[in-house]
Amino acid sequence: MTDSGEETRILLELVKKRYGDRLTEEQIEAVEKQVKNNLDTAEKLRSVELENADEPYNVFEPYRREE
Amino acid sequence: MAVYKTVRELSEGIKTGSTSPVELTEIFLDRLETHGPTLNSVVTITRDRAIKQAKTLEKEVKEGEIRSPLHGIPWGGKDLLATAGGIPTSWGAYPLRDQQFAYDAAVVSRLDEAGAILGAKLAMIELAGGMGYRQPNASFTGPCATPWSLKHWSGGSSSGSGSSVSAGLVPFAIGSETWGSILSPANNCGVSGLRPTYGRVSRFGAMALSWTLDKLGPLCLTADDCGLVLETISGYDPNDPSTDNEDWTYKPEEKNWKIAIPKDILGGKKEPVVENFNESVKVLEKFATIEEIDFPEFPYESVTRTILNGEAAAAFDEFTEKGLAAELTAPECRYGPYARSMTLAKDFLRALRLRKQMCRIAEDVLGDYDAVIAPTSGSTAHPIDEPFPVRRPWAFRDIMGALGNGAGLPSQSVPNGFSKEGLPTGMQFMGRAYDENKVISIAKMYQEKTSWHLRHPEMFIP
Repeated sequence: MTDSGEETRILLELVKKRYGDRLTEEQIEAVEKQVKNNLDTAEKLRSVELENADEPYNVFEPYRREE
Repeated sequence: MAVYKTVRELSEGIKTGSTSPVELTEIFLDRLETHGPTLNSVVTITRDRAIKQAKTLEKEVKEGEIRSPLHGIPWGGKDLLATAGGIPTSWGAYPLRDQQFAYDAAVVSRLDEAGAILGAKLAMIELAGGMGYRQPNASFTGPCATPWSLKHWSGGSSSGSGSSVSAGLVPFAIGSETWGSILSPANNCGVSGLRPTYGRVSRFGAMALSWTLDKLGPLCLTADDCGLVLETISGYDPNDPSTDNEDWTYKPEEKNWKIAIPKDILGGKKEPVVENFNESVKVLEKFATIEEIDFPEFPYESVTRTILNGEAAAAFDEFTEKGLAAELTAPECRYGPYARSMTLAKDFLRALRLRKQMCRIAEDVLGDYDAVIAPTSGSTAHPIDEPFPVRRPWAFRDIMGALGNGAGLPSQSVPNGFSKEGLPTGMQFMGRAYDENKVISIAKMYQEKTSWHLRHPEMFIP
C-alpha cells in the first residue's frame, strides 16, 4: 500500500475549507482517519489491471450469461 | 390466534372466512402500540389508515373478492418508504422527523392494490446507515432491540422491520438493503429476510442511499412468505428505470440442488455461528450436493465500498451542505458525510469499471450452482449499548456482502440455530442474478426440515 499521508492532508484541507466552521477539532481528527481509510480503499482498486476500453458499468443491470 | 401465523396461513384464514381483516388489523395495531416502545421498533402507527383499509377489504371478502394472497394482511414498512396522507417519513433521522411526501412509494402502492394493510412505519438506522454509524444507538427513535434479548441489537439498518416481525407485531415487513441492511436484522432477530436481485423491486419513493446498490425486500417468518410478498412488490415500474421488464412469479420447486460453500467462509466467525452452520450443512446434504468453491482474488470490498461512498455522498449532498448532519443521533454520523465527499471521481469511476469484472466473476463462480451458502453474519446480535469494534474498511473481508450487493445478487437468509445465550444465528442462500425462485426454494426446503423459524421470543408470545 502506498503512503497516502500527503493525499490525506490535501483532501483534509479541502474538508476544512468547505466545512471547517461546523466541525470540532475532535471531529476533524476523525474525518482525517476516514479520508485515509477511503484513500486506502481506493488504492486497492489499482490491484486489478484495466484496459482503455473497460467502460464504467453506468447503465447497471445484474449480469447473466445467455443459456 | 393470529400472532406468529405465516402470511400463507393468515391468507388461507381470510379466504375461508375464519379470519377477519378488521380483527386481524386490530390485533396487530394493539401489539404495535404495546410492544413497539419496548423494542424501539416503531416510528409511526397508521391506525386510521389501516382500519379504513381493513373495513373496505373485509367488505370485499364478504362479496367474494380476494385481491391476492396478501388480502387483509397487515404489514409494516421501513420508514424510508414515502407515504402520502400526512404520514411522516423520517428516514430514521431527527432533522427529518416531520418530513412528508405527497405520494406513496411504489412498494406501498403495490401492497395497497394487493390488499395488504399498512399498520406502521418502522424504525431504521438514520439515513439507512449512510452517515457511517458505529453503534446501535443511531436512530432518533433510539436503539432497536432484538426481541430475543432487550440488551442486544436488532441489526440494521432495517431494524424495526426485523424486530417487529420477530416480536409478532406485524406478519411481514419491508426493509431495504444497500449492503447488509435486510440480512443483518434477519440474522439478529431470527427471521427470514430476502434481498432481491437489483431492479426486481421498484425503488420509486424509497430514500436513496446508493442508486445502484439499493434493493427493497421482505422480512417474514418464513422463506415461503418472502416469496409471496416478493411476487406482489416486484415488477416493472416506469418510475424506476432500473426495474426488470419481466414480471416475476413465485414458483417454489423441490429437487436435488447443487450448492456451493466458499472456501474458508467460516474464518473469523464466532463459535455458535460456526457450529450452527455446520449443523445446517448436514441438513442440506439430505437434499443437495454440496461442493467447495474459491472466489478469485479481487478487491470486492473496495469496489462496492467506493461505489457506495461516491453515490451516498451525492445522494445526501443537499442534506450535507445544509449542515443537517449535526442534528443526527450518533456522534459519528454528525461528521460522517465529509470524508465521503472527498471521494475522487477517478476512483469512483474505476470502481464502476471494475464492477463489470466483478459481475462476471460472480457469474463464472456461481454459474454451475443453484446457490452459494454462508453464515448470514459472523456473530450473534451485538450488545445494544456498546460501539461496534473498530476496523479498517479496506482490510475488512466480506465477499458475500460486497459481491452480493455490488453485483446485485439475490440472497435469502433464514434462522439456523441459537447461541447458548439464546440469540439467533442465520444462514444465507445467495444465487445468480434473477434466481430468487431457487434461493427461496432451497431455504423453504431447509425450513421444512428444521424448526428454528417456529421458535419465537417468549416475552412476546401471547
